[in-house]
Amino acid sequence: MKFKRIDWICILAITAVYAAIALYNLGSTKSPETLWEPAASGESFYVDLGQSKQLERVNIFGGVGTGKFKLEFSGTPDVWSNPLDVNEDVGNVFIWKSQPLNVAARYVKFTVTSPGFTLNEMAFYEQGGERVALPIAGVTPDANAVAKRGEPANLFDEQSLIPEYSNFMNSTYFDEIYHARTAYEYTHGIVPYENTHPPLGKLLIAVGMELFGVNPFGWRIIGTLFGIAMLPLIYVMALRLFKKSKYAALAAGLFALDFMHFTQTRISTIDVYGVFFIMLMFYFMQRYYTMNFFKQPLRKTLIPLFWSGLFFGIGVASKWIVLYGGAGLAIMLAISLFERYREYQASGRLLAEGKIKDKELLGTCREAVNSFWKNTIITLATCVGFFVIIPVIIYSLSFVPGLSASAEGFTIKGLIDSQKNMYNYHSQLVATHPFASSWWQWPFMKRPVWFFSGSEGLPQGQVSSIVTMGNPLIWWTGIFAMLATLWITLKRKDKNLYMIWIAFFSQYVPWMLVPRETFIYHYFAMVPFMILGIVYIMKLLDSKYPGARYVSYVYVAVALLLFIAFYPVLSGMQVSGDYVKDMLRWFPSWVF
Amino acid sequence: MIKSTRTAVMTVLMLLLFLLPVTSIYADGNLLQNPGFEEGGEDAPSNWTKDMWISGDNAGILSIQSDEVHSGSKAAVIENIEPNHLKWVQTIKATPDSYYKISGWIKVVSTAGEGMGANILAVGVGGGYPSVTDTAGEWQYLEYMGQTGPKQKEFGIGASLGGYSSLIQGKAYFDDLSVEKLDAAPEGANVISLDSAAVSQDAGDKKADTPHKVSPTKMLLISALFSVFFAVLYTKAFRSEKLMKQPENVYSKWLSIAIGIAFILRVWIGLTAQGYQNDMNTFIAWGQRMVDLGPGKFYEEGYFADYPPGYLYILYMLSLIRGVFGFAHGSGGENLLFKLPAIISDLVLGYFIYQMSRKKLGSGIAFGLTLLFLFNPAVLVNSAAWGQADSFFLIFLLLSIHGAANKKFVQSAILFALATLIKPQALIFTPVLLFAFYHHRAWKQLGFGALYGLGIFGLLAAPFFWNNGGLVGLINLYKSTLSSYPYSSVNAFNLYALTDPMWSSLDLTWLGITYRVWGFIFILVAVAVAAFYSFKRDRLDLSKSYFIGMALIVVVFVLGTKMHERYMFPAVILCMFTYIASRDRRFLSLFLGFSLTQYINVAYTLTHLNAGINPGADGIVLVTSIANLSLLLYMLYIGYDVYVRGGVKPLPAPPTPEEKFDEDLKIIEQIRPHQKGGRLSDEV
Repeated sequence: MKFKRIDWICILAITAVYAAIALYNLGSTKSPETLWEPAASGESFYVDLGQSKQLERVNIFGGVGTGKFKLEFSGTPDVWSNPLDVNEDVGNVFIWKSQPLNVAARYVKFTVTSPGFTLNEMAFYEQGGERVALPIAGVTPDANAVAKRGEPANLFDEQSLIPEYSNFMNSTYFDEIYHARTAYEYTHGIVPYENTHPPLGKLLIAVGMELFGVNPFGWRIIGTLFGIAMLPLIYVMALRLFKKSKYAALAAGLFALDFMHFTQTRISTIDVYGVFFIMLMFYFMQRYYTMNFFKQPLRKTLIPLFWSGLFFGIGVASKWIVLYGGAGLAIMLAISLFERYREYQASGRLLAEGKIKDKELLGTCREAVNSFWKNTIITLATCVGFFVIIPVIIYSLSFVPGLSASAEGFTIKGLIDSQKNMYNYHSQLVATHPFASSWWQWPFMKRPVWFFSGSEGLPQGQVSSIVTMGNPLIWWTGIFAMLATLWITLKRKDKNLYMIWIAFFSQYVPWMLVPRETFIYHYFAMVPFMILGIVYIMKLLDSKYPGARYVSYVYVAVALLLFIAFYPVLSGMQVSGDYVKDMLRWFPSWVF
Repeated sequence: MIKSTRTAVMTVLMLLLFLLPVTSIYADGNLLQNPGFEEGGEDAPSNWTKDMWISGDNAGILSIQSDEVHSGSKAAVIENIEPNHLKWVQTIKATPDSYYKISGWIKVVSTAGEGMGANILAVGVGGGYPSVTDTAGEWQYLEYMGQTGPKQKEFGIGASLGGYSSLIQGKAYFDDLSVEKLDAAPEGANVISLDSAAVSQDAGDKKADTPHKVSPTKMLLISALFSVFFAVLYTKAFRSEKLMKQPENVYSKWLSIAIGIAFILRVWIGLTAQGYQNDMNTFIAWGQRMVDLGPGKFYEEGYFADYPPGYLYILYMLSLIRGVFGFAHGSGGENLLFKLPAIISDLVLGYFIYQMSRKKLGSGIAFGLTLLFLFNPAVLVNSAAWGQADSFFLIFLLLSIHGAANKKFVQSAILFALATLIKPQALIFTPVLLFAFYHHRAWKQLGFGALYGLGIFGLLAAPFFWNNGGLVGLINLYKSTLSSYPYSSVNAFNLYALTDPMWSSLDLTWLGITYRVWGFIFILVAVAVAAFYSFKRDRLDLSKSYFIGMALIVVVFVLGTKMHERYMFPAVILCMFTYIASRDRRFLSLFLGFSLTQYINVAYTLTHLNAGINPGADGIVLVTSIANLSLLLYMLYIGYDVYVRGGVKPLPAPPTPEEKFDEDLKIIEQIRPHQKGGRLSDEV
């Protein structure tokens, strides 16, 4: 398959435009990074505000860990009153939170009640102070205290970085409190809090934080880059399947316009990595599938198998859902080998009948008969290596950072216990989340998941939301396009296109069977293949009806219009609440 | 002295009684304060706080009033003017890891929208507790059990209209809420977690009670297995020279082996699978009653017996046999014994398929078809698993239609009478016989048939009704059976599983018409459809009878009301016989379709019933219902193509040696190395 100039132009154009949109307002590049992690209960410090102020609230940027502390207030640094208990819980990691106060004080004493938490920054505000932090005259720590990390003065050294209001640009939202936190813990040798998904996705998040700092941009950038990279990838996949640049561009364009692709790659969670590697592994399996070890040297056919297995392993180390796709890979391998078997049988029969005169054909038949079993066995044996041994190694290695932080270090027992814990969690997760939805509700987008709801600092009537859902045009037509693809490719015996529905259903069917609580974003892994199905149907229509190309233009235009219309609630952009209520909430179950 | 002391004590006690308020704020054991909303003002009841998702007076109102009360003089009222979630909330101190019973009385005025209805909220918990959108104008009692988390010291309870992110409009009254601590975990109840902080992240810490989630895995695997089996037969076996051209005695031998294996399989399933205990117990009880009271006193006002007399004779015999062998009540042997008539009927039907298709299709294909029936999951689940007797009934129905198809009218009528005596559903198939008689002007046979048929019917029914209601009693029995279960769908995955939840009242309307009326309409539609196929083109061709019978039951099942999940069972074998009569291969595909939908419908319902619930509106139900609708349309289309347009698509014959050679050559051409200079299409 040769890349033509038009291909380069399309890939670059679509990728560049999407990248610009995806990186815009991804997150702040500055967050308070110097921290204080007290070691024991009772440790304390107090701040001097310079003079007595009527305090209205205190803003806190929490770091990794949970615990409790107490604030007390006074005009003099020896007698304290008005204690306020603050609970630094799981939902405070890397988020700006506000505690209301109503006390006049010059000094504020901070005492650790229950250690385990980390704080990065604090600021006090006075009534009528116009949301500007009060300057700190001095910080006096408890002389005997030796903190685990940092010192109390660190809580007041980055006051210029304090945002006026807490929102997604400067804080974590939804499951970022778990994944970004775990990524941080991996790189800082802390025992990870979240242990319900395998580590590789979080390690990739950690790379972003190492390169760009521990700030929202840092913990989201890698996922967003992977999301951008999905576009050239689907372009190449579509080009291989449909052979024409037009359909490749359609596939990449529609994927760029899908809402879930946009939101899932901009939030610091790990779905993006699972889906990216699923796409890669199916791409390489498709490469293998179109090869034939009777026509090409066997070792050449093993190369795409190697890549497929490698990305399968990396994918499983990111999220277990990639295992479902593994079943699809096995089916494709089985079909491919079965085709070779048919060729082998046909060769045998033809040789036995002895009716062929063509020398070349005779040679082909003999070759096939002689080499089938050898080739098949070697293929299967190497697949054990590529799809079992290598993935197990990658998977086990990915646990090294997390397990090393624990007391026992990296042990086989620790590794196996982690798997048991993960399995128990997933098999017992009971449905009580208000935004959960079941597998048959996903194609129709019954219940989008509301990731972020802006509350602070929004003018009257304005809202800021981030919701994850699919592009209605793409998703609602997608499920029907998928069923049509299944039916038509089977009827026409378009064997090279089976991958589209094998990939889709091998991932979808397991969700019908798992008992755990599920959400609409579990459908993300099926979206690229759904889009390939849509493009296939468009290709069929083009070949039957000359006017059909206008349909595809209109289709893309409507998808684009929908993307623009919904962009505010996909990106957290501040927008009129009435606009969201009247124009975007199409169904009562769409709550955002 | 004693007298005055006693009087004094009595007086003091009575005075104390008067001091107690009429409705106590602290009910014994009730941890809520002011549970009946008696204390405090109309906008500020003591100990309760308002919580509004969307605030503002035009979004909703929380208040106390005195017009509608359950007890005392006041009750809470919540009115969601916009879709909203409003609640009166109270926080209670609690001990960790303890069980609480939460309950209250709710009266719903109206609700509108798709959100969670009126409920007694566990603050912070998204769902799992009961809610109600309609209480039929009465005060309804709701309760559920909750468990506090391992570190939880308090939780909130609310009188709530709507749910978290599940907004609803409407108005409801709340009164007499109660939270009581339980000493021990409640038996068997669904306990929800009250720990709102620990929604997702506790890995293995709390032993959460998983709600009844019926897993469809085994059912889907068996469906996949059968589909593969069908595909192999259809594409390979039926086209294989070797398998299709064996001598006759080989097939007879294979048939005996197949029937043997089918029998052993059914016995094994009969002993290991959990049948529908309700039906099994009913059958056993009826059999016992027949032995104890005899047919004359079997039917009795107030005793539940909705079967006509036919099968009761069988149950009578089974009961006698049970006594002879001394099977204990509830034993596996007894269960198997009562499943035996259906199991044997399955094998008999398999044998029928072989015998009746041999001449026309050849023994090879006949044997394959028999296998498709004997090892069909839809058939296995009905007789060996569930324990119902549809196969037994089917023998008579099938023979009756077979008689009509072969112009043996009298025989057909007699068998039809017997079928009706076993199950009233046979009456659905009346048009098949009537049309047959009519087209062939077989009035004399109709007369004789009716005579003999009604005669046998009367003879067998007589012992039951002679001294027990007479003819009127017999007619009443059939009338009550046909009108029982007045619901839109009784676990049938058909049209009504899509429009509204199953078990909806017949008086509910859909598209402006009540389900009751829809039921009548579609019975007429079914008869019209049957008439269409019967009267079009060749009226005298009675081989259509199987198709007409299938069309009747499929239309009635998929579009009719009050259908039970097993009622489409006859379609499976009737489809098989339609294939045999017409030789159109599309009917074989239809056979696969009906087998799978019937199997999934019955198996899924069975697993739910054994878990104590009915199947709800989940993906399996919805997809199967859509499949049934599609199969209905496909069936009508094939029927039209075959019986009106006359276009038949037979199974392709085994390929000739030349065809095989050509096909092999085509395959090998694919792997021929390319010409020099050309590019392989799959090289980069």
